[in-house]
Amino acid sequence: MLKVQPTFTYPPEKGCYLRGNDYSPVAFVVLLNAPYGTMPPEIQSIPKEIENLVKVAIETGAALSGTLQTENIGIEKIVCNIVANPNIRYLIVCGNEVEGHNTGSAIKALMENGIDERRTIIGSQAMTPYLFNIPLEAIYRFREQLTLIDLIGETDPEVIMKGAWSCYQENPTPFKEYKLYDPGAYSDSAISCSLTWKVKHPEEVEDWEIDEILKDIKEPEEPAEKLKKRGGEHMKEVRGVLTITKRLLKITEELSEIARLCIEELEGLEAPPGVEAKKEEAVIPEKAEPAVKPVPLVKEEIETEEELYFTNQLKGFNGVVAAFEALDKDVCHDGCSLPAAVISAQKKLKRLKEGIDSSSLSNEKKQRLEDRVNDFMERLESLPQDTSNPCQKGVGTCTIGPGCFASGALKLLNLSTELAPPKNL
Amino acid sequence: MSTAYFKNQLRGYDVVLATLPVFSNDICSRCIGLSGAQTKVIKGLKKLRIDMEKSSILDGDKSEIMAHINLCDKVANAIEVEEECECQKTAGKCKIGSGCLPLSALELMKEITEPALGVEEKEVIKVAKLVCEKCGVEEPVPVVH
Repeated sequence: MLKVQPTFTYPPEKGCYLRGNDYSPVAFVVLLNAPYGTMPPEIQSIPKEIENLVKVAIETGAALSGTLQTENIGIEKIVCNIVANPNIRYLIVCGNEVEGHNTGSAIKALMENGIDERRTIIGSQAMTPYLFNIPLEAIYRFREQLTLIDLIGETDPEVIMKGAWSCYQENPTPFKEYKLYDPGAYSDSAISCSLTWKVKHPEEVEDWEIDEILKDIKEPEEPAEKLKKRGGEHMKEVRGVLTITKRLLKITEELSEIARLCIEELEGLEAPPGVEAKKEEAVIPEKAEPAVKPVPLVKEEIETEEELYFTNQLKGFNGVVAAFEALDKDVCHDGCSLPAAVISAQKKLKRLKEGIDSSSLSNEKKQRLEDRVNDFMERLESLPQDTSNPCQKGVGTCTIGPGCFASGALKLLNLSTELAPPKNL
Repeated sequence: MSTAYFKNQLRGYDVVLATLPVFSNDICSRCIGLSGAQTKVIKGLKKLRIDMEKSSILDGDKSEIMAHINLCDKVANAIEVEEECECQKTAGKCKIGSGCLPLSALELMKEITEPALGVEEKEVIKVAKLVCEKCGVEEPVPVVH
């Protein structure tokens, strides 16, 4: 059975996956059906059961096993990583479908139907199944090289293990509706490619933009040859770069160690004799501080819920007053809705001021908040307040429909909902 | 699409673009909420420009609207947003509740519901029928015969 070496850069794309046996014929995709973007990437944790499936697959002998969430960049990374290893002949997609993304159905549709001339996966139910960042050659190869084993909805580790095991049997082995065996490496050379990142946020792409985006995406003149060359002969050059990079990394580590020792030494000299025992405690916060606050956006320290309530309320006024000022330059200046909204905002602001006055905040904090209130008051004072003006819709100058910008803008004040008003309000 | 359509859209963008820069002075400057709102405004203006170029509105109106779009575009691009953004609620810094000020400001565009998009065709038909189909008379202004 023919097995080949993957490309030297294999796997070219980073991601949430584990690398196992490079000569294995199977790769696993575990659909990551977890809240997206609700946690920062550095602390975002993958649910235990999904992580377990990824591990089970790799321990059973998969070449690659990882999670997949997005129907565009996520799939593109998988394509790049798989075409770089011709030994991979099966892609097992398991786990529960990703809500909102429908990534499982997207990858299935990619295998079944491919993409259209707009680089959109044909027949996918996903919202933005666009593959703008990888060469077409890689997509064609991906579809030729692989057989997709559809285990979408399957979360049983036993089934996953059986699936992986079946893929590397020498003789056809029944697994669900499939007959699986290791057919050996794909007959053509590996393809080495990575994401071009021409479209960093495919999820933001509107349908009407696609044609324009496509104009910027030019396929290489001899795609297949070039890419394969990169996958094969070009390796010597890559190897050289890798060696240099490794050396640089080692030097950096050594320099970092020297710097650390110097800092410790110097700080030891600076500290008074009695403080030596507490050296570590004293050093760490000093070091950590700059990283924590590189941009001092929140200038004031908010200490109590009461203060937070008033601060939040004033945040809304920031936007509302700015919107009113813009509307004052519009036909709304002669209408009745802007004055009505201005009066309403004034009343709310007045009430807020009374609340701040009677709050338990320190005088300094009260003053700071009241200054902001007064600033808003002043700006509102300069805006129209005569509600006897005719509605500009009636006059025929406002033609936006039944909606109203002024009353719409006023609603921004209702967004601060987390804290209940203090009792004095 | 009619001149009124473009003018109404730009009225909306004027208001939205008055509010977004204000939020960029707050923690929103490093938030995906503001960054997303900015992207949507820029894209909306781009679409408006494309639609206007395709439309059959008068050249005088076109240049006026185009100048307005360009101005809005400039303001939108000048909104200060950091390159690395994350939701400030997630980061624990935005404590206003589940709402989002920049995205809600963008919602002001939804106040605009007229003229409906179908109006364009009607206007095109009016212009196309300057020569009356029934009597063949060439009219200086659209007239229903």
